[in-house]
Amino acid sequence: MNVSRRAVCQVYGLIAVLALVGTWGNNIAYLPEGFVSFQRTFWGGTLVNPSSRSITVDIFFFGLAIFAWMIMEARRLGIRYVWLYVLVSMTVATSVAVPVFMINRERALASRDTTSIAGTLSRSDVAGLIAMAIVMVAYTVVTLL
Amino acid sequence: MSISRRILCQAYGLIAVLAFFGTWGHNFVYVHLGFFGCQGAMWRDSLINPAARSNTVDVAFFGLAVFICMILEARRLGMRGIWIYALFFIIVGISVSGPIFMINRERALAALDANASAGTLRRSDVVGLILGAVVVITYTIVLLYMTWS
Repeated sequence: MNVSRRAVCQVYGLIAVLALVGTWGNNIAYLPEGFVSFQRTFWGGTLVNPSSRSITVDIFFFGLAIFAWMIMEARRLGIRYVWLYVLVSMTVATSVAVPVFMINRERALASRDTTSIAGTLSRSDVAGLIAMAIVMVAYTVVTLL
Repeated sequence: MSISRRILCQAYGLIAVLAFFGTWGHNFVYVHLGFFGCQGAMWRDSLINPAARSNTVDVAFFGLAVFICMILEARRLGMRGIWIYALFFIIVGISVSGPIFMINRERALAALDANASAGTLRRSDVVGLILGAVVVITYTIVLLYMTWS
């Protein structure tokens, strides 16, 4: 089935909003401490056990690979301020900055190619993505309770 | 400056290898619990405090957004086995399977377009990425030291 750019951008937007709520709904616990203490407590909190350390390393290396691709895509498509997404990743959340980049990438692709179709997915792809999203939202709700 | 597909794939490969050691250097602590015990203990430990929970939510939604883009690219380029990467996201590491997908994407693009260049980067982009890599690798070594000591 064809997937429109509009639908893909709406999904990316929804992911960015859910990610903002999911990450900062947890980060809010450290906010009363002020910026410097917040950073110290937050990063200290990511070091407490092997699992939290593994996830931190996972996000860093995945981010490195994706940022390399994002910068090359930005140079190819003429998307400006690509390093701003890196800054937002570090100060807000990677899961907020990257979907916003994806939206701007779709807009840049649409300006080159007037088709409104972002691509094609099989019904099983869509079902799989919805199942993944449900699991992630459920996990996020658990973390916020 | 033009970046060759070969160099880009080597960089992705290096990231995948370093990420594997960087993540499983911690995960091995749970391996003796068996597959389900390992999964249970890891996810339980990921809930230990707000920072760990925030990072886990971050990597999950980051992965979801990138995975949507990956599926669209895989269908466009005729790449097979895309859902195996999703499985590897969960059981090996998103930072290992993500770069491997990128290597196979470059191979698929090379099959369509014989141009050896993957794209262009400014010198400042390359410097920024190298600095980012140095910080990530240094931090990874510090974290591995914490687990092993």
